[in-house]
Amino acid sequence: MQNKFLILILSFLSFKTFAFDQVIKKETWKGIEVVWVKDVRLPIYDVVIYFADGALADNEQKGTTDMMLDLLTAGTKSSSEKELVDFLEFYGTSFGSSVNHEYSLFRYSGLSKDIIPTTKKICEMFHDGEYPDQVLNRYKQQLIDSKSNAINDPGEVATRIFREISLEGSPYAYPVDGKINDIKKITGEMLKERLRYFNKSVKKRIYITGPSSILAIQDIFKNDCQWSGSSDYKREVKVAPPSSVGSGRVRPKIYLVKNNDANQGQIRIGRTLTKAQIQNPYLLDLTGEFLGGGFTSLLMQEVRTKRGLTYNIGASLSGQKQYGRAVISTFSKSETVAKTLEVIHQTLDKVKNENFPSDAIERTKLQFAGSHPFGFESMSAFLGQLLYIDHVERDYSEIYEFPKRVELISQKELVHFSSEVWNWNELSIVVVGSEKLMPALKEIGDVEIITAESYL
Amino acid sequence: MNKALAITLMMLLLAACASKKPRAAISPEASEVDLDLAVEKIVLPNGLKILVAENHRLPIFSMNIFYSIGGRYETAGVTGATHFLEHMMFKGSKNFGPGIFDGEIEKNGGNTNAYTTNDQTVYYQNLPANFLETIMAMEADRMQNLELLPASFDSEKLVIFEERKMRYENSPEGQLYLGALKEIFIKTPYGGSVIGEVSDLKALTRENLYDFYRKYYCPNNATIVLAGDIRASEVKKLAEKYFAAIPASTDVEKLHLERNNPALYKSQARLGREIKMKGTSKLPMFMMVYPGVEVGPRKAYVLDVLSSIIGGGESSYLNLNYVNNTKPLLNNISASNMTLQKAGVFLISGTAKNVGSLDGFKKKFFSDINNLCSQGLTERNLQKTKNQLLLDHYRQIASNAGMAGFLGIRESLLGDYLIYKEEFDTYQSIELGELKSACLELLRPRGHIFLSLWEGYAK
Repeated sequence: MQNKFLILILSFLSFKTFAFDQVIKKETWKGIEVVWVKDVRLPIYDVVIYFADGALADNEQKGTTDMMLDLLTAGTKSSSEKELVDFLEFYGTSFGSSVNHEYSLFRYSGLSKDIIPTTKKICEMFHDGEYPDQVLNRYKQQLIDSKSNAINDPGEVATRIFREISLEGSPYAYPVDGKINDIKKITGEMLKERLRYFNKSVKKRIYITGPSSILAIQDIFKNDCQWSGSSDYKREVKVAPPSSVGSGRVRPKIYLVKNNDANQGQIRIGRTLTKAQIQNPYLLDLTGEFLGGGFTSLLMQEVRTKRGLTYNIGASLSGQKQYGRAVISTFSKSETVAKTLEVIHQTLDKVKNENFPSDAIERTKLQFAGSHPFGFESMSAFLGQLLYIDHVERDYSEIYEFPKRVELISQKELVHFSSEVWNWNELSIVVVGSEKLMPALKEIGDVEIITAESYL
Repeated sequence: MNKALAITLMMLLLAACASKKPRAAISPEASEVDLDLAVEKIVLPNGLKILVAENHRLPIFSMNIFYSIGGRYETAGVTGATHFLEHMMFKGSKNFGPGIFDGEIEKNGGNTNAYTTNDQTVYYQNLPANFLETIMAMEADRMQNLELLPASFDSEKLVIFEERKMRYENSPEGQLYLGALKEIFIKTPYGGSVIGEVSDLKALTRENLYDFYRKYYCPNNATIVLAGDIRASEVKKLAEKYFAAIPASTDVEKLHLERNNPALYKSQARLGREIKMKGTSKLPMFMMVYPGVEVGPRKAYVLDVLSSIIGGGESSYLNLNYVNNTKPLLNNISASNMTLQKAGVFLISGTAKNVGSLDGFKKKFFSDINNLCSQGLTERNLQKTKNQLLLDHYRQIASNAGMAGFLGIRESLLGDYLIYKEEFDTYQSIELGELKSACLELLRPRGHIFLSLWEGYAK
């Protein structure tokens, strides 16, 4: 096993020789940090604009930041929605935004030869964005209809509700895109004000990939977007520990969302992770991989392979800057939802009691370290990796040190951490399924029936 | 010297000699319309075809195996068998027992999966570069020595029932899609569900699966594509070592000839009908299906372009007329052209704001077809679509997995991966007149089936 790690570490050195030192360049454009990953294989580019604030900026105006970025194509002082979208799509531009509680992204990509006109148009959208009532009202109604119709998708409902419940009490619980009642209240003025705030105050960073010719967009960001490094606000939040820690609960809390039309139950299990618990990202990822990361993971073996209870089960532990989450996600036919929960509980106990094959953790470490290069294969994924490292204020050197840091994690450390995180009685469980599940679920935990509508 | 250390030092040496490496599949100076991929093609005497596209940027590679067997080869009573067989291919072969295939791949940092369509079953892996020989050995073993163990068979059947629930029974989109394909392909081999009917799944035996395995899992019914940090010379050596001894099937060509009989695929769809399905959607969802064409002929490319112009993106004709305007009738709409190996279907689908607006959409759409096919198709829209198609190709081949899929689909379905060059030329050559004619012919009155799904319909 140690020899295999030696091979991995040395192959990472060759990985480094091939890629990073030659291709990651840092520049500063009018005080804004720019990270450029050179790629000349294909005549295409990717640009990601990072903003150091996200949905936490909404305060009482929930959903505003998300809508502000999503609706940038609504119109500007000089271009209508139709003109903006037609322009961007004519060049084959792929564009879009994503917002979480801590930061926001706007990304666009296309042919290198078209980056100049495209970037000018993007800057026009940011600098002169208007949110005409006609477009805004139509968009809001579509969003409301879509949320109302989300009941069609039990998986989506389970994920959405679980997120809010498992993060309850923290500033991260409320959905980034707001709920139906929030959407109704959003006005064009609120969106413009939010856009002004992001343009003028929020710290930005630009990530780009492509040939050197695309660096010509520097002047466009300076003159058309008119962004500069003087916008340096980045949000910091202090998060209180989750209420279930040390709560003395003797049984898990189960929330049942009634869906009597479904013959399958959706299951989400987990909790918030505190800032202390997310300090070692390798431990987080390795724990998730060990428990539910692939076909050979413990949960997949116990729940799917041995018992055929589900088509898919996964576990993940991840952290942002201030908080993290631990989630197990699966589904099973109604008749076996309770059985599935029992098997998951038993599997977590096996980890706590170190009742698993003696080489299981070492195998997972090899798997995890060995899969690392795949995260850099596509340029957009590469940018995503760098962006995340910057957001959590770590160093790019961890890319090279990855297998070494994984190797340092001992079985004792993983088991202890897993037992602390997956303390069964402190977990929140959301089940979307038939109300006939009630009696069986009551055997497992304290059940509360909730309706989906209040979470949409 | 420790062998492992020696190999690793050799890798470092190779890394230092980067400038002396052979030309990568994609040239650094790739121009926008003159894509010239460096691909090596190997054909073994037993008919196995192998394509290799080298890319030495990262020490990883992707490998796909395309078998020409899928749902359309099944008959009533054994629907779902080829998909079930795909699941069982991961459950152990003679020299790599249960758990070994996944276990070896995952413990080396790779991942593996597969999918089944009506036309093919495709196995794909993303692997570290030093895993080449192991995966060649494992794939060769499961091509000829699969063990369909009873315990695995029974538990995997349960898994497939869960998959069916997820994809169809608990998904209104899945129900609508399945219903639409069954109608447009009725009484043809494409008219069933790849996952299978519940009654058939319950009754499937190991012998049913073995039957398909023996007939179709053979070297002269397979195409292997590798893209990434591997060398064609090494691949050839390993292919000869592990695959060359596997005998070709003497029957598979005849089986394909029977199953590819054009008469089987002649459309028997009863067009001009409307079908309402009761489902769990709070808003009415709809799908209009029109008989299309199979993959290959020029018309297939024309319909690709047509679907993108009328329904691709927010600036498309359908979006501007029914979604992004002052009085929207729909929440979303899209168009797509699905080309299968022996037939095709053109789909327009969306979600209405309510039942009343669905009726409004139907009325407006069918009275607007002439307008759609004339004013809706412009030189600008045509150029827009050509730009988008080019970018889609670039984005696909930017990754090893994308490259393997790009080459493999063309080689296995169309017989020659080089067809990609003609494809670019074909797309570029399409003109407005041809598009307009195709549009009017396709969207002729009563030339479709209109399906909708809503919780408010009677069962």
